[in-house]
Amino acid sequence: MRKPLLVLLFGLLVGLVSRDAEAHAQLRASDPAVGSTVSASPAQIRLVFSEGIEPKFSGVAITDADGKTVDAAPLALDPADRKQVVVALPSPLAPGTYKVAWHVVSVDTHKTQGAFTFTIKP
Amino acid sequence: MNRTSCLMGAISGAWILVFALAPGAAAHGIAGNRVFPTTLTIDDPAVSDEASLPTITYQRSGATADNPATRQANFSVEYDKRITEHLGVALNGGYTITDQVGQGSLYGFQNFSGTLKYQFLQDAEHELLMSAGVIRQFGGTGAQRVGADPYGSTTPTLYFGKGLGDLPNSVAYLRPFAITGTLGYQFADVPTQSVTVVDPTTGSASLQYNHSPNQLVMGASVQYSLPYLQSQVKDIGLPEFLGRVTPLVEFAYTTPATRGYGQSTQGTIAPGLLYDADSYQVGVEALIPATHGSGTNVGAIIQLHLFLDDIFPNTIGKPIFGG
Repeated sequence: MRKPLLVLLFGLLVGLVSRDAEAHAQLRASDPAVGSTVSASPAQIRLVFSEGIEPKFSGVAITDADGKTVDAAPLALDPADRKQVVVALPSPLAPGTYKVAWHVVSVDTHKTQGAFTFTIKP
Repeated sequence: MNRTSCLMGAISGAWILVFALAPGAAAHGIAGNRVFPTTLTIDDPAVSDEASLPTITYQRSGATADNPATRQANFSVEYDKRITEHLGVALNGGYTITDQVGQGSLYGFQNFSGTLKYQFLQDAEHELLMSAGVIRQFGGTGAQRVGADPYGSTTPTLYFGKGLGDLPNSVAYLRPFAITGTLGYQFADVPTQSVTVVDPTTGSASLQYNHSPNQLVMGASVQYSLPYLQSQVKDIGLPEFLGRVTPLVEFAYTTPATRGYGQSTQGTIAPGLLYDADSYQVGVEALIPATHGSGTNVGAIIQLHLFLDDIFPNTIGKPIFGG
């Protein structure tokens, strides 16, 4: 009697965790990479999240080493992948260290945020 | 103390930490850039909609002059529910199987318990969370043969979690560290019980006193978050699996706060790993006795933890009010 019950419980658990759950959006990758040093100014900042993003309720702020905000286009969703957002940089960045602070709302309305730096070589 | 009492005492001792600390041992939280994962032997500093289903603990104890060697397994479940964004409850239950070497096995439920917890501080900039709660163990709801106390207890508890993300750039690789902790004072419902014991050979009766002193209940964890390292400090190119792992060590202690009547400080040190998927977490830790009174054998604990707020975001995964 116990065995079918255990099988049922196990099946329920597997079903729960394997369904396409909508979770908190965590940063999985970026370009430039988190903490990296690049040789030239990127034309854009690309962030790859674990979940689809609602761009209207999300944002990215880029600041230089002095804390001054860098000119950047509004956050845009990659039309091919709702998990990726792009921030275009209209003018090249000078050498130095920059901080990228992001906050996003995933498609199931969970809020997350984070920050990282990257450096452009002189 | 007769043999049965000794055995019950031994079993109670083996599980005292699990059931003193495990109630409410769930609920991962977020403070700014920091995600505090769910710890296994101590409670987290947050409230949330989650379930530990199940937590399995295995421990052995050696034979003594009065008791046989035992192998104990406990299967427990926990359900965490937010009433409001910052106020939550947790319900815990467990079932214990104790194999006595050379003798029969003992089976039974542990006492049920509940926790009411309020998260009163969430400082995003400093990655700091603090909560206050009360754990109520309902005495007599479990089986005394597996160590469940016939009387209950109430434990006001403070919880905290602090990420080190605000450290300067010069020590950036220390930023993934976080510490969490709990401090509680357990009030026993009935500090002293008197039991009439009849000697089977002489037939004479005598009074036996069982003492349940109040306890100081403490716990802490030191965590190094590889997800935090990868996404906030430096992408070192870890494979996807490793990038979701948090190595940690948990410390859990209880010590009599009033006269102990022979009861001593008990504690475990639990090094292990937590793996965070999008909607669940798997944790595995060793249970290493930290004091003389905690035995000598290393045990283990494993947990599957479901993030109900991610699995059912629009129904049971949101607060009852204000969700």
